[in-house]
Amino acid sequence: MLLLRRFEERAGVLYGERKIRGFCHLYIGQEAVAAGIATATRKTDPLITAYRDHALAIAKGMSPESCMAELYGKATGCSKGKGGSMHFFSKEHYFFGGHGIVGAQIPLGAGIAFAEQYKGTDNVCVTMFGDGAARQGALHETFNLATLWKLPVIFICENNQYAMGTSVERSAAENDIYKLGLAYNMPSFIVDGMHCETVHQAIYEAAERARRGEGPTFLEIKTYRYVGHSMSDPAKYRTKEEVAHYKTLDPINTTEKKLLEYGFATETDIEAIKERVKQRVKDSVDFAENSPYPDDSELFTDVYLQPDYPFITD
Amino acid sequence: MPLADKLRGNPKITVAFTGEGGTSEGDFHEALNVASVWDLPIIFVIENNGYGLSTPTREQYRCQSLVERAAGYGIEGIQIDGNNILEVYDTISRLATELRQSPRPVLIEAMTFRMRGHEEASGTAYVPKALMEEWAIKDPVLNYENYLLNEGILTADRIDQIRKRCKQTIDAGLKIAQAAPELILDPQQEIDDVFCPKMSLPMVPQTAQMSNKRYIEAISDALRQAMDLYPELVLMGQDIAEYGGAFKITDGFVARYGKERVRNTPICESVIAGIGLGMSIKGMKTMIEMQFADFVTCAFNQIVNNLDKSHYRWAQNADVVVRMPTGGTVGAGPFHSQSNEAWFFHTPGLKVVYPATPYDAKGLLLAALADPNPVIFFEHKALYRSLADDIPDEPYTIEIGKARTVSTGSDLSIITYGLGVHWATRALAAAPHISADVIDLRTLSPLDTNAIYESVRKTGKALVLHEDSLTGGIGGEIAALIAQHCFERLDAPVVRCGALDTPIPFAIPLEKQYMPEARFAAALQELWEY
Repeated sequence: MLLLRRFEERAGVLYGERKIRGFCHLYIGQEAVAAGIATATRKTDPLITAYRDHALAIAKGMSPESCMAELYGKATGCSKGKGGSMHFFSKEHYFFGGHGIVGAQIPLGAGIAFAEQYKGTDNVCVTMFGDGAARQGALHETFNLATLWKLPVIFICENNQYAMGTSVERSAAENDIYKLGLAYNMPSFIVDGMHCETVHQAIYEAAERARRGEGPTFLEIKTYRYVGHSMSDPAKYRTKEEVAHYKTLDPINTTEKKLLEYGFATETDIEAIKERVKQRVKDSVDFAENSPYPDDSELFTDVYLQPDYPFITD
Repeated sequence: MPLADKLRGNPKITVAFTGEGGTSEGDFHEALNVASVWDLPIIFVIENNGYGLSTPTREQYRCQSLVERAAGYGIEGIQIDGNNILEVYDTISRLATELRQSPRPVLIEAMTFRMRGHEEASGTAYVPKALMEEWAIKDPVLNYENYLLNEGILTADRIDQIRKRCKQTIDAGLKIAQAAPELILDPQQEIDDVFCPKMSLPMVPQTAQMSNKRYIEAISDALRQAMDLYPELVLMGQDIAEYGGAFKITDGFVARYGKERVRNTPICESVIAGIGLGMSIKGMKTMIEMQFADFVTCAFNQIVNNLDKSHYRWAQNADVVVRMPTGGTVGAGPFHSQSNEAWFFHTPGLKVVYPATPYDAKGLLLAALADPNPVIFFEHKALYRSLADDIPDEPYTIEIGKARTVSTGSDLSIITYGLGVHWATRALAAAPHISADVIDLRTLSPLDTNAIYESVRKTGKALVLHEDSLTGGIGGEIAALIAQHCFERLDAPVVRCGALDTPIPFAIPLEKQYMPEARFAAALQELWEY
């Protein structure tokens, strides 16, 4: 969680310095969700999410170096510098993006789950989206098919309370998003997203349900982003008190306290972790800084499966 | 439609029908959600007749009944026997009274059955015989007839009379249809039916007062003045209210015009585009902001199947402007940089406008908002804050469908629009030996073909430039038109210059090479030398 936080903080600073271009949606405040998912699922369980994807990619095992390089648009980035902040991807880490159009990844998640079901693996596809995306028609179509076909998928709505500047109260009359799932006879729950243990437990149970062939689960994980929607959003639509309240629930502080309280770690251990994380983030920035931009010839690669597709010429 | 009634304070309700098959579409979800969050007075009626063409309900959804969906939106859902006219009448009339008092949506699932095929060619072989027999007993006409007989309201004689009258009415209608002459296609009439011809007078500024405004401010200005000009203009878009829109174009609008007219929408482009047509049916005007032009894909069905065809089909104009922040060169990656004007250019029934300057942006947006037809209005993100000009303070319109000559020359014609206008101007400044016409199309549909032909006939050479990828781009159509209509005056092959046929890469150096500007100077020189 600390690595995710520090990585994002650094990305925010670099965006301010215009080292990172385009858009930059930070995950700060929502780390317990990524942590809970990472520990409660297997390495081979695919994960797909929207554009707020940096932390989830790292949680799924992708290196901070390849992620930072992608933010820089460098050739060594996880998408060869062609995707940027919103479009991380790594098949070998079972991380399937990184998607820029709100809600468009939801059907893809069901597709991946269908492939797993068809091939007879017991992998479960974690399909994530925000509270804003829950209003897209694609969600409805996917929920309907996923329940009809009992697909092994965990739908996760990271409800950070604001779709950009529009609060949940303003985008739907029914504020409990999990209730949408009940309309499809899908087990649906609210989960406290500020504690990694509760997230872990909920994900673990949902994954087991899917592995048993009982179909999808819908989890509305209540979380909070401290910062604006993206780096260009000052988030004036929220009160200082509201942000301050959530900061007292900070998942990292809570976990740190608990580790000390139960004797799982000492102050020295935690200091060591902090130092290690700091170094790792620094390494990732150095790596990105020192990497080359993609070569112009890269423009013509990867559009089709064939390496030399004849139609693409300049 | 219910939004229009609600805004006008009309105590009316709307009834919207769908089959159970239609409920699996995303639009169903979006419509129920928006209707519930906006408390719209609407009754959604699902006529659940058991089969979506040949697909039984057990292969359509897993929940027991479709009214369960209502819970997800916090609205009331009622299942009724759709074959019992009295139950239908009682339920709907009770709800109609309630909804007029306190506007809100309700979901009705009317259980019924179709005794024929999905349509007359498809038959009913997929329906088990027992099911047919079961529902035959529940026939609504037969049962109601028996009920009325039992209650002593109807007599056998009266039934006979009614049956005869029905038959006569149908026969009379059939006679009229059979006697009607065969339709003979009149191409001009067909084309005239595509757009609503009711155009308003052009607006000319009454004073010479000008202010220096950026492209983005010109757009805000036009919207603000349109809000004053048309009291029934409603703006809809994601985060456009208090937040002021992703690009801050509607900043401050809520304070001035209120939340009813400046509406934040959930993230559901499709139903919002549909609501635009619904509002238009009620005689209101709407502007829909796509947060990025790329996201219009989510509203594609509504735009290319409903907004565009309603006038041709039933003389109902779609008084809707869809604003599209478009284009690249801003390092925004593959889903926030695209140029997709060619999709709409190809679709009859839509007007496509694409200003390149602050002056044109204001004048064309006001013209688009004045136009009763659907207009897809492209505005380039890279121009928002990089371009300023003195433009009239007062409202004015620029005629849709008229190109602008940016500069004149004799060697060749550059036909372009949007960012291309600025690329062309820049390239010519760096190549003073080339004397060229630069034509800024400004409107892509309808296309100002005369301006193109006039210039090309004069110079004898044509270079078509656009930011969109080359294949299937608008340049292909323009090149074909030139080849057909200016062939005898051409001194060189028509040249097109567009972006590569690849998605748009994120890394700035790659995006630079992706864009046609990277190849434009060379293409210009080559054509000049030809």
